[in-house]
Amino acid sequence: MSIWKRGTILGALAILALSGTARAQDPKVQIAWNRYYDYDETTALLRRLVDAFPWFLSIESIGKSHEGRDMWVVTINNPDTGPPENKAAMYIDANVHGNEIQGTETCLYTISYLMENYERIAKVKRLVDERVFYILPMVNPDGRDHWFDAANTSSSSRSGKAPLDNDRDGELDEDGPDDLDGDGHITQMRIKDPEGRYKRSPADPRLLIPVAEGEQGEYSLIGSEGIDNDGDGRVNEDGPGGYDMNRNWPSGWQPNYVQGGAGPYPLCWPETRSIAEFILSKPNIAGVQSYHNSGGMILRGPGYESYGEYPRGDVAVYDELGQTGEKMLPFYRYMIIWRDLYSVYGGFVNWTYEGLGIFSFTNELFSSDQYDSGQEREEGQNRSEWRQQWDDLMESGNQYIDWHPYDHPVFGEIEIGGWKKTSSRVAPHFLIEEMLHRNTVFSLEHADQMPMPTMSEPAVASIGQGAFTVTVTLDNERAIPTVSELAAQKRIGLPDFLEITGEDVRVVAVARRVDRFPEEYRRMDVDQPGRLSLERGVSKGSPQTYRFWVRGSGDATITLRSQKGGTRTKTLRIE
Amino acid sequence: MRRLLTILGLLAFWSGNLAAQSAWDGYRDDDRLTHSLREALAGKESLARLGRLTESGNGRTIWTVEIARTGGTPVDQRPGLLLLSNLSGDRPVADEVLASMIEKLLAEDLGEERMKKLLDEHVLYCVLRPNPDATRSFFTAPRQERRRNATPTDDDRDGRTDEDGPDDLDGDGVITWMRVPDPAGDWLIDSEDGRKMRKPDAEKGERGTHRLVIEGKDDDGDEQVNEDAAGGVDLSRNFAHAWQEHDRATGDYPNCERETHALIEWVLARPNIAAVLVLDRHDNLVNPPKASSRGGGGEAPGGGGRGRRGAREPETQVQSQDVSLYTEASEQFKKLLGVEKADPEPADGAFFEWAYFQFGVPAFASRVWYGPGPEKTEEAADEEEGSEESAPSAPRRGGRARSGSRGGDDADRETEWLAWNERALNGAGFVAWKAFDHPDLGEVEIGGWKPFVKTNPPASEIPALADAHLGLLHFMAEQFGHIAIQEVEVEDHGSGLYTVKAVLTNDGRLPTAIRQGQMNREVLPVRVDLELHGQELILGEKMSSINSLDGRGGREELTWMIRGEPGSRVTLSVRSQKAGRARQEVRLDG
Repeated sequence: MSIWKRGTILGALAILALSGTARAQDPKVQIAWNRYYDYDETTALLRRLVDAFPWFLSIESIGKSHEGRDMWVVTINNPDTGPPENKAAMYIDANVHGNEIQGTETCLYTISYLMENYERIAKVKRLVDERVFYILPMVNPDGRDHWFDAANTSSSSRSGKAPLDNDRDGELDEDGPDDLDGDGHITQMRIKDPEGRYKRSPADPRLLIPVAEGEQGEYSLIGSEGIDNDGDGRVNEDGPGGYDMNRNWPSGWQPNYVQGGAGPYPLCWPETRSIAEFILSKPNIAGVQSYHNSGGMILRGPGYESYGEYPRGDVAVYDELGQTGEKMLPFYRYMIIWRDLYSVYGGFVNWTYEGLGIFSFTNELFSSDQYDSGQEREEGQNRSEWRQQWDDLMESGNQYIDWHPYDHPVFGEIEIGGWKKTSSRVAPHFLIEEMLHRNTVFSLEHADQMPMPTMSEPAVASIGQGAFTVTVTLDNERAIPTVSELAAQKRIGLPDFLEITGEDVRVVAVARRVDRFPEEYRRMDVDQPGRLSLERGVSKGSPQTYRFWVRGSGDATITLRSQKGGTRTKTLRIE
Repeated sequence: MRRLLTILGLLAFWSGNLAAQSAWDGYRDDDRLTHSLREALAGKESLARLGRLTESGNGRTIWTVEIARTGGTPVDQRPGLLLLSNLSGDRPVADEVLASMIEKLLAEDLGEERMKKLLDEHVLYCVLRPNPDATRSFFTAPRQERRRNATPTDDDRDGRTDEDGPDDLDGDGVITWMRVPDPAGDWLIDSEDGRKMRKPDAEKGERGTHRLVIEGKDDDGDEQVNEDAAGGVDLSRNFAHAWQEHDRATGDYPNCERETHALIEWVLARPNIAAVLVLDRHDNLVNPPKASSRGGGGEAPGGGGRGRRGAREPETQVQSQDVSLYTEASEQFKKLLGVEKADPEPADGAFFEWAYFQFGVPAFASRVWYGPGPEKTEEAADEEEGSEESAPSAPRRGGRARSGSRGGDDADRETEWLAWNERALNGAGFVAWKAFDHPDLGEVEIGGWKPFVKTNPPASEIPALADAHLGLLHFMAEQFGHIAIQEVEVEDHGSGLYTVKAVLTNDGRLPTAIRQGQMNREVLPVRVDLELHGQELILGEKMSSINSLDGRGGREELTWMIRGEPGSRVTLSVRSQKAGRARQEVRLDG
């Protein structure tokens, strides 16, 4: 356990005792929400939650990481309201980038929030009863553990741990950074150099700032802490891993030469492949959230410009959810990946929407604006000075390691210093719980907007000589349609089916209502009028009325079967 | 019921016999192929080794054969040629040709110079019949063409998988075609030759009279015929270059199938593979790629360059610097096979395309058999939209024929095929149309081309095809890059200071990395290490990288200054991923 982790436990308990939020006051499973948990600690917490709420929770390993760690999925389902496959499911994961850790705690918080408040808050109970949640807190357990346990920067250990030949010399992972001063962080190396392009900041001598054109410099920056481990004359040229599991998904995937880190082929890593197989086996998944850090963003695709834009109806749904998110998440912006951030080929949420037709977001957790409450930088102040000022004010300067001398085997007398791995991307302790809560409730809103189709009571009318009409109206109470427009266009998954079955009942024709005043029905030219395919599903605000012409008599059922909206059944009597 | 089963069994037996007497008799099923390979390799462990790639979805073993004489340079350091047959599944001729090549190679005079070089300096990696669950339908009654492996798939999106495939309605042991009278149909019967179906010529006021449907009925009572046959993924479309999403025959994602996943991992584990030859339905040997109009090459990646926000675009055309590799092989191939023309065939998601664009080696595709006779070299199968079956201008599988285009061309080709059928097969490739009372469609006629007739030649043609491909193999083996330390000069400056200058050359045909392999960064640079034994390096790199050494005498000069004891030795070590290795001790003296 690092000093950083240990130091927070007491504080966590103290804050827990004082806090008065919507969270239960006497939770069955006490968890401190002002700190982060490594792989083993997270696993233990998941088990404690599952043990405390066995009726609702189950845990399974859907595969193993490269280094053999289990990839846990917790399923939240109330068996009283049906098996999981009959309900729309929200899939939430986190930490595909090993250093982007705080989504994992958000996953823990989500499970805890839903379970501890099931009996206390009516909306929580409704969500749990209506929906299913698949929660995978650690997509990249190896990267996570390495980030916690080994010296790193705030942005290293993003990769998984399969060794890779980054410098193309035929050797794997042979020369990564080294924690030369043994402080648990990989910081920077600088060397005194009159030709250098940096000098100490006049405002704060701890900081290096660039010198102006023609100005005498003091230092050169010579890279991250490290030595020439393999004696090839270069420093830190081939560190652990070196690929990006969020560029490894099938939709729009492009190889390494188009996009670094893509891997040799889509879903080549055990982690990504296991997840893809899991998601493909659950066609009831109707919402996806994949937590990252940082920057305060609610991201959706497309990932690259030449994809074009998503279908208009789907964009409207995305906009509604994204704009709600901006209200719930101060300093977060709702953004399109390629347009507002950068190009991504084969990103995860691109696959889940473009490949599978599921409305999907990636939240980039924590914005530095939260640190400084969005205050403007002072005139002439550069970014590191601003950062340092706020570190001094908010954390008593704890996130910065001042320069100190080191005798380097390659470079000789140098100095080491800079920002800790816990700075910048990971929310500081005093902001963690708010981050977890706001992102959790945004995803719960997303889940709440998953399709909820309704079917009216079927109206049966005799038209004489043993023939009848059966009329029903379908609607959807929530923003997300049972079949996204994209899924309908690309014929992804199954259409919804509207079926009439009965022992002595035969459907001879079906029509859809096209006008109400006067009421007008148009015959549908289908092979099986008793099993109607609804390719475009059921959307909010556009009720669909169908009339079946039926012969026979006796009991019958009419069923709407929707992969992402569940099953609705009504019984009727033909007589 | 039992009696019915017995009759069906007898029918199957009878039709199986029929097939056994056909011109395709020599084709080997899995057991016979396995037996042949074992026989060819028996007692030759030092030359060739049988391995298992994986098992197919239905549990059939996929074999690999590694051919290289052991001893000397370790096999995984030699330039390798990958030979792969019949990913499509419906080209057993490719398996036959590859198996025959292995048999012939191992039976040749192994002491002959060409063979010695092949076996001692190179390695051949062979993978045979990697889609055995599809190929199986060549060997079982009813015989039917099939490309898709055994993964259950819901083609018609009704929530059920594989519930309505073709049926051998007339019990003749083969799945042929049904012509269904339909005034809205887009086919008509040729007035001169009643066997022939053709598209109506609208300008002459003709109208369609029939639909063409694969032989079968509505097995699941959904009012559609053959809309969801057994079979999942067309393995020849399941690779990562230009993979087509949202097409049920291409798989959920690239390499999603156990067969393709195993293949790709197996290939990636053999980075010494320096060239690929795929025997399947595609072709880039008769019609080699042409230099792209874009030019390609230069410092910037030859592809689409960069889009907005730094997005680079993938390559879609062979780099102009690599084109001559293809045209040279093509000249050889056309001479060897006596073929001049080949119909184009879509290659989305094809293995050989992946091998070039993403693995970065020259990758050749042979259709193996390009059609009958010396004059007639075109394959008449209408392969539009990746249609699986070849038949009279085949409509796609499924209850409803789709409209095709090239009506006139197809009709000419059809005439040629029919003439060949009479000439070479004595008419045995075509089933005469016969009336049939269809349970769902009423009066129809069943007949038309037998499956595989247009895609796999009579077995008697296999030896010649194998010889031609063996010729190509020898040609390709002579193309490998070959790295050498051509000369080393040592200059003594006194005071223990020496300059060492080494000239490296590649006297093979292939560069150590073709342009695409450099550009996609998948082929490693040539690595040169100076190993010191107590000396001090004054100037120069302990480890240097050379992006690529051109073929046909590409040179690179490297210089070091070293301080050491007179008479002491340093070692130069040169490693190429795909063009071998070299090593030389250098004595520090004047």
